[in-house]
Amino acid sequence: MTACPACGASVGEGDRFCESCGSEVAKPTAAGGAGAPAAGGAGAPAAGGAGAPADGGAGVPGGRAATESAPPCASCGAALITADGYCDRCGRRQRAGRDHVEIDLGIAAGVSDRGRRHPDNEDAIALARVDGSAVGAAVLAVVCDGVSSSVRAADASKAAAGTALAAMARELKAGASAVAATRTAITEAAAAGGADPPSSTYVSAVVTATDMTIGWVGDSRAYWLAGGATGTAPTAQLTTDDSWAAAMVASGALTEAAAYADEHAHAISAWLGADAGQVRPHVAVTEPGGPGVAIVCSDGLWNYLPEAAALAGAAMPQAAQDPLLAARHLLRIALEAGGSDNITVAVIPFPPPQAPANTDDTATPVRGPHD
Amino acid sequence: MTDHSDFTVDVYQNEYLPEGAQEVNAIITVTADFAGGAAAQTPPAKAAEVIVVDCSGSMDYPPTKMSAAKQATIAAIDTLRDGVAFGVVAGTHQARMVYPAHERLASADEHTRAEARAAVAGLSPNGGTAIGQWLRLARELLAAHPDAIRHVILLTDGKNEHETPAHLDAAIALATGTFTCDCRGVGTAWVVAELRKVASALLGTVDIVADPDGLEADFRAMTAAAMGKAVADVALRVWTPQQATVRFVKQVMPTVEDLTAKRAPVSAQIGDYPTGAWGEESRDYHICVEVPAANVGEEMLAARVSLTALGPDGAARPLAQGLVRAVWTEDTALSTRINPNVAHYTGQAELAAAIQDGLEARKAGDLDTATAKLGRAVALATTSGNDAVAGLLGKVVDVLDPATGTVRLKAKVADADEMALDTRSTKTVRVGKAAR
Repeated sequence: MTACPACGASVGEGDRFCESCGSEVAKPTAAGGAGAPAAGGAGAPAAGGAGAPADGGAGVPGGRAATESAPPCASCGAALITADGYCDRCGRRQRAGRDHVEIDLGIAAGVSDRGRRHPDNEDAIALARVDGSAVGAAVLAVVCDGVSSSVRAADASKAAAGTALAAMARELKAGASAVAATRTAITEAAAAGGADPPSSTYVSAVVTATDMTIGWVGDSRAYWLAGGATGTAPTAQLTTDDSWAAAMVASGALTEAAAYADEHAHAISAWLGADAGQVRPHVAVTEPGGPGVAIVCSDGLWNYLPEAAALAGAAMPQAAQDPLLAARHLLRIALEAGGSDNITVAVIPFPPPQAPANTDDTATPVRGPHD
Repeated sequence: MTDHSDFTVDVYQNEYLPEGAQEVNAIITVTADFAGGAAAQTPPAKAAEVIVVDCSGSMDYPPTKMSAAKQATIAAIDTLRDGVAFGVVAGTHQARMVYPAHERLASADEHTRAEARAAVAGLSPNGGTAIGQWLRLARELLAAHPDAIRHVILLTDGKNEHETPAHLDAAIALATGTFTCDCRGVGTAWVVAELRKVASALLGTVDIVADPDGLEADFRAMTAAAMGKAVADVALRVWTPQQATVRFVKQVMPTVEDLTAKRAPVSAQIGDYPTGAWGEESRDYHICVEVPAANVGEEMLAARVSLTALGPDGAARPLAQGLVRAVWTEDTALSTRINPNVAHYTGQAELAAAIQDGLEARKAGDLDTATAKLGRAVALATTSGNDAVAGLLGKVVDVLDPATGTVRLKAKVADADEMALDTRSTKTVRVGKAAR
């Protein structure tokens, strides 16, 4: 006999439903993420819930917490979450682990949040620090925004971000330049997900002691926020959107204000995915010349802070000292402004410290999508 | 023991609600399919059958009623499977055993069936009508067979005259949950509301057999259906969130039956609605729940509906379940969509109510209300494709325009036609599969 995950009543072996409350008892297939025991029988708790340590000390988001290990209901606080993901008291759907993700490398940080209007978080974020053979210590950040109109948008962005981060780290350690590593990462991310990869935008940053290499496809963005020392490159947006609005502005057909007010503003003209055709990634290198902060983000953030100066005003100088607090602060601004889309932002102070903060240079994201 | 996978639950609903909305509607289709499953090889479920035949004096007027009732009862006896516990009760102002002689059930075999046939052939009408007495005896006979699927066929031709309505109500209350009862009225001197009350409480059907010649085929069909039942005492177990209210739970197919008041609480958030015994069949239920509104983008489980077999010892065996969800959205294209099943069955329930209200008004002499209600019923029956009910309506009103429900009351209506319309007003049809 095992216990019903919903009400705790004993459940006969092989029963599909609890006799007391009617809840479906977890089927004996492993539904959890990495670390979930495949042999878990009905009602067995899945290990490796959000925040639990997995291989190499990297936590695993999306390892769907279940049964006793499930956190209490986000709405009413009841510790009664059914196997199919509803609160057994108030009925509220419990979100998967990606609803709010924080990654803190100490020397850089990122947050990703569902926002207030979308049912799921289809953005994905990945952060890592590597010691490149040629480029030295570098911080890597990838943000992908699943295209909502596609099926499995959340899977697409997660696969793309995880694949790109792993490819960049591998190439840099093998001695590749940041530009070459970025191009390889985009190519591999575009093919992530097998025969039927769904659609996602892409933006990545490789921040070394001397420069920042930004790669992007679609309308996720990177910004440079200057720290104020003389000789430093001025605060600026580092990417140009592959979008209808950006094309209108670039061609001079519409003013920026008019273009972004249009309902087509966010229609993107390039993305990663099976239906994207030939991907033409943009790669740009910036030498900041002085301290500051690189920001990579999805449109859920920049919709509310599109101007580089406004973003700098909101994030600086805190971003240079405490990237996690700054990332949370930017998230809060976007949420309070409406949170109409998923919100993802990575904050990377420049230059990254050369003395490794983490001696394990194989470190992959503290929390990042890498199933 | 029956293989639980023989039951499936399908939910039809529009889960999208506009901001602030609280009412969630869904149609639950429950289908039992025992063919081919492990159950096909298992021996048939135990069954216990009691046939109650009205033997009041009026059954002799005309005498064809009594002879047809005897023939029908014999046909029912012949339809019983070997090993089924059975008995025949003669109903008058009291209840008397016809077969076996003592107050216990016999096991069906060639010998007992022959004895029962002979006993039934010797019946003669004499006495009054006290349906409550009949139900009490049926209940006592079936109480000895708690692990069987317990079924009663009750035939009457008259009004319940020899006991008070309170006596009948008390007997119904006592019998509720102990067996299912299909009621048949022969002729036109019986009262539809009275038999409907019995059948509703005892989860059975009610119908008119205006022509005694039709009784035999009807009794055979009812007995065959009872023999086909495989799982007894099944309930719809409905979980709802804290602070939610179940507005109603109705069976809407094959007939409209409001189950709301039959809720048996299991816990503060869980209630059982009885559905009786199940054979190979499919039924639809309409459930309406009021939930506290959540923010746009949030999803809530509005109801968890599970089909549950309740054993004689009170143990609950879950058979299958479905989820009724609520998702709040700003997208009006989603939230204004009406689920065709919900719309269809809302119309079928209104159809039954319009007929019953219309006939009531007609009896009371309120011809304007009767015309309006029956006209509405014609329009509903026509647009929903409920041809059987539309045909019955056509015998009570002259239809000038079926689409708008413009009708004129017929000056002369046969009692049998009016009673047929009344008893069959709750029969529904399914929405075309393509629209689901």
